Amino acid sequence: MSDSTLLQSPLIELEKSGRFQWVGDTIELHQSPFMGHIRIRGDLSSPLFVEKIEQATALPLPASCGGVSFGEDLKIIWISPEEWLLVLSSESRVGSMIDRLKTRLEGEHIAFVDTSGGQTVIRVSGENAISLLSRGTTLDLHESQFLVGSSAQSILFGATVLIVRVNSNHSTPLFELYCRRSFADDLARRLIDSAQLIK
Amino acid sequence: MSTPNATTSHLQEGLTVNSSRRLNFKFNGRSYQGVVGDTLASALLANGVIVVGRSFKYRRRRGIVSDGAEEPNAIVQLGSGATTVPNIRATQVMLYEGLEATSVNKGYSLDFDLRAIIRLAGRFMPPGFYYKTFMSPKKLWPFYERLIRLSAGLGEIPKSPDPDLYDSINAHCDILVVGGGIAGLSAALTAGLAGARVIITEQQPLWGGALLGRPETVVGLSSKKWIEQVIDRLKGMKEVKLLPNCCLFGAYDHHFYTACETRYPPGITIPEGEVRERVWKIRARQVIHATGAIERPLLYKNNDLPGIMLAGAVSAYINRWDITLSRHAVVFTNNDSGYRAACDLVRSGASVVVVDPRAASETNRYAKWSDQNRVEILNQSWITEARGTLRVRSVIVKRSGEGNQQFEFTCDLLAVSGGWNPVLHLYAYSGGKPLFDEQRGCFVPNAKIEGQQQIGAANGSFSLAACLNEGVEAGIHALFECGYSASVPETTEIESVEEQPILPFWRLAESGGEQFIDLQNDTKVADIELAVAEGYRSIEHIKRYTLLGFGTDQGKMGNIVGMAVAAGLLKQTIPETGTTTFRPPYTPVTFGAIAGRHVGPLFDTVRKTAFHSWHCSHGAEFEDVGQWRRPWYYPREGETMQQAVNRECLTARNQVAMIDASTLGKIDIQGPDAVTFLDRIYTNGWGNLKPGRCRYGLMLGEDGMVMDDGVTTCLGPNHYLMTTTTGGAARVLGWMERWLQTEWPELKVYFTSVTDHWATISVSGPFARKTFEQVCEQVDLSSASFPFLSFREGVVAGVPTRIFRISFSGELGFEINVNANAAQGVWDAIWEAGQEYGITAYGTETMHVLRAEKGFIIVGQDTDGSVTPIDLGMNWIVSKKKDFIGRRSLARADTKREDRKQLVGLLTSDPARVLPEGAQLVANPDEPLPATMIGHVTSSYWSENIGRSIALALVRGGHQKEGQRIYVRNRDGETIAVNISSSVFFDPEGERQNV
Amino acid sequence: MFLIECPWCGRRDQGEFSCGGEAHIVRPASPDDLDDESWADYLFNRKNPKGVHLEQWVHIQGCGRWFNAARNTVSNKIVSVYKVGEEPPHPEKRKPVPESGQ
Repeated sequence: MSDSTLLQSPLIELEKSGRFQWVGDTIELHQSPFMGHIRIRGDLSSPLFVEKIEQATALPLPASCGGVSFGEDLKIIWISPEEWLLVLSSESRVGSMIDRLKTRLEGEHIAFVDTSGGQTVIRVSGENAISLLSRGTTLDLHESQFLVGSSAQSILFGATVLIVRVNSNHSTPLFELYCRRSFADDLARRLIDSAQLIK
Repeated sequence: MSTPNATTSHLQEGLTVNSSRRLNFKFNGRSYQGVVGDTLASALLANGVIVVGRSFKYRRRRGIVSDGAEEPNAIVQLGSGATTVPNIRATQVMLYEGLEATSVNKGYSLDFDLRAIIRLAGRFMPPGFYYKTFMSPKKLWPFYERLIRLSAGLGEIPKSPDPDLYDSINAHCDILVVGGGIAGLSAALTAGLAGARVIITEQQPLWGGALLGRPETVVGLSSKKWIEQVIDRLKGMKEVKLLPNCCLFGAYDHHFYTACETRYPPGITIPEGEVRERVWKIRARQVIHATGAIERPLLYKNNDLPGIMLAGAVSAYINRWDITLSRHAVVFTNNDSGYRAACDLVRSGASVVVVDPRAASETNRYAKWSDQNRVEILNQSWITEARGTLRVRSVIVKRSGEGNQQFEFTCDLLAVSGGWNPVLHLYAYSGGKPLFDEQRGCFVPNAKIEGQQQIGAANGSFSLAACLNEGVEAGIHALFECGYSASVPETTEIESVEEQPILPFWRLAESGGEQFIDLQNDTKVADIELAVAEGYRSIEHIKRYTLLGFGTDQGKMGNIVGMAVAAGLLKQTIPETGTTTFRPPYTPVTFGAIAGRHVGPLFDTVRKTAFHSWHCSHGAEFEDVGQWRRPWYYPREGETMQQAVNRECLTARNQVAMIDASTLGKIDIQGPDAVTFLDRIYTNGWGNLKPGRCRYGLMLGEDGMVMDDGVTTCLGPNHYLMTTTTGGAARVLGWMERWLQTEWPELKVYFTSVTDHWATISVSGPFARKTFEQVCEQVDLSSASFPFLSFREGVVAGVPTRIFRISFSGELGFEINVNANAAQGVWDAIWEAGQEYGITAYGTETMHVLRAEKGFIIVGQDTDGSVTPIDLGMNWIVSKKKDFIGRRSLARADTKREDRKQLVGLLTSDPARVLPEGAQLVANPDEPLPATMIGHVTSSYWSENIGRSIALALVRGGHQKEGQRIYVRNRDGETIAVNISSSVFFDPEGERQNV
Repeated sequence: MFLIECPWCGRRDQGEFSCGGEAHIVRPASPDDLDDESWADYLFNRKNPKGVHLEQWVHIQGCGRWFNAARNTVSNKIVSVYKVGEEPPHPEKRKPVPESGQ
């Protein structure tokens, strides 16, 4: 899967020229397709597991809900007490990363599952980003409740979505939505639809 | 009569109306003018329109009685065409240029209504009228029903889809304040100053609530100035959200509230892309109800005449809208608030008589005022009757003592105050049980509900001073509960006024005639009397029998009076009688607002596979399977569905065909205990499944009933891939996680859904291998090295894939799993390679026919949660050597019965006849109805491959009945003969898939 | 829609959860030893109390973890949440509470 020109993102129907995006005055939507998504399963109480994951990724393993470890070109997001999402900048890095992890944890009860084809990332930014997302989620996204650099998995416009509030250089909020492929087109259409209601 | 009246016009100074900006509007076809700031009701009153509608049952003329949500009479239809909205209260719609309104109950004209003849028959329409009149003979009911339906209902619904946009949003706050009157504003200000996240809602477009209709000063400012100042301060606070024009209509668990914000009034044409209404779903930590109070009417003969209004509304129309309502007014009041209306009437130039059943009091602060203004106050007096035909012209007053004197006063307006009912709807919605307070003569909040406070008039505290102070106190309390430190905004002392206590009285024994309790439903005192006489005791039953409170106004004005009357008749106290149940919504909510954006293409979530665009461009018709949108069939030019499916079926058996099977659930299973887990969850054994091999499995519920099925593959040591049905994917994963987490936490195994990661292409048919080998590298596809039910990894069209030799059609087949991002290229390559063999794509319909030909079940279609594997004839898959979920239940007496419904095939005597799915089966075609049903058809198709119809059915004891003739009894009485057959119709030896 | 305190994710809307029914039903170790009546009792019969009910919930749209909650079926007040395998709240805390939720 080295030749990305053969790849099709889940938002192909909404892509007009090249990558999907929707730009309004106060809201922008962009897709970051073809990133590497690895589901990590393991026992947080095992020091070996934690140590080896941190060695292989050079990132601490988040230990509780909302936790995200941000690296240069990868991040680890807490999903459950025994599950994490390791995100790589490109799908092409997945194979070697899984090999590296498996080698280090040979014989341990762990699982590393490539879900790169099954997920995509939609980035929502702009001063009305929270207003937009609030139309689809019961989460309280107020900055005092949903801190910059934290995450939550919940329902967004009917789909299960992992929401990460990224630390951006801009003063306006930036969210990443990790969404299952089959829901992505529907989610994007609902985001655009609601964004158009916000003046 | 709706002729303009010289005495009613806008005064010079307005509290909120802008008399320089005129607005044209139409009411029942006539043109009028109002001004900016008017409601439809105030504009009608300013134009002297007294009669605004007919009553629902007796077609009596009715006028505007209130200025708020409780209005029972001025109910109008606004706008026309697709955006018309019925049942809008004229008191709650702000006037706009070009507004067109019609009364929902006007008959042919308000002046002459043919159906007013019913009025003459009124005494023949007691409660239960329809039931008593039309229940026999039963045969005639359909005839009566048509007639009754013609006259039922209020207003008209639009005939075409609503083109407008409706929005909805979730919101969170520390403190939600409901009601933007003096109490609510005071609470919001207190909370806002401390930096709390505050949302305050107000159903009117203007802030101020009842204060808007009152001329008093508040902390040294005019009421209008005070409101403006508070709103300005609130608007300056970052964490305070002001929602005017937003009616909070529902209260639910854990401080969840729903409110509907009107962005554009009903009937008005809105600009493209704008939102008409927005539903707010608010989750609060603390809630303050400052919802005010609704004034009660009083009971006397003809108390429904046009020109009779609630006293508070009279004040509001004078003070807020500058309307001169009357020259000669009578005020009938049992409490001090009626005197405020009297003062306002006097200021607007009317002569006023006050009728007050209370004894004259030495402390009456209105005594001096009445002397100065030549206002006659009749104490210990009651109105027994209002007179007039088109509107009130005079009232009959009785005075107690000295031989019960009786007077008649001429008047053009009767202002009434029977006391005030705190608006406790939200309190009651959240489980609160209001308490009747004898002193104040009204229901008040009783036990506190955690996180909730009622303040001001909603708490039975009717003075401005109390409203202001309770607002501050509630704000501080809520802040404290949310962990904020509070400070009192500033001195807020208002001089409190001594009021004489109310004399609540509900019904005068001596006044007979038509005394209306519920004006919208025409429920009279006599109706309650009849209900009680006929033995009704529960207020809930009395309500339903008399229709008390059943209108679109939900009895906001009359309910409490009705309950009090019932209590009197039942010789009970009001608390003993109780109230009926309050239920949301507080005021009607449009379906548009409830639906929000879940309309048209956004109606429901749509899941799409990686090949969706391809399906679209190849002419697929789609079918919804759960949330998935799956190709149903691919018609070619001019083909019917049946023709397309026949072609697809033939091609799949004789050449080669492909289907998008990506929607099948796929679960990655890893861990040393994976086999143990599979053994427990499936009926068959898994210990001997080697890496590279696949096996079909059946899952049962603990009750022994079939729950799901699918093929599971051993990918490597301790590593499996399970497939589930399309609809069962989430359920099965949840089920497995549940057993793992709650019952078997000691098992070392992880499940990960990979449904979305892998796109799945199934290629099958006699030419499947020839097709597939053109694009597949590195794998020997021969049956010898890659047999049926095995798995290989290989590269297809340059993309790494997982290849499975499995088939749901019974043909030679390959199922290819490929990373969904790269899947389209693989699909295209196979499609290209298959062209020389006439490859076709097929959809779910052909898939169903092919599998039914083979007798393969679809869980959820051929099973329904009451079917065991034994019922399906699948004993072969039920292991005798191990335990598994559901096994014990298969040994229950009931699951072992021989006459359970069992899966069989059905062949119609007429091979061309395709049975309807769901059809009921009987053994004896001549048995009179209702016949004994012995089963039903679960799947039924035309099979082009076999050249006849086939069906699967669940039949009692069916396994022992092969070859027997039974019958389908159709709905229309037709009988169709069928023979019970094997459920496998095609290739019973199963040889085709092994080649 | 009420709020549920997931032991791992904190307070979330009910819509993120699914209810699994009554908790602490012990699965018989050897079902074969039970007669039909006892097996049916395990399978079908539930307490369905008016008042505090110990039930299983799963944070299905969040972390996917199963846990137990003591919920008042009248007021929907969640008295406590606790993990699978942990002891339920003390019976004193499970007394029926008035309908107004306090």
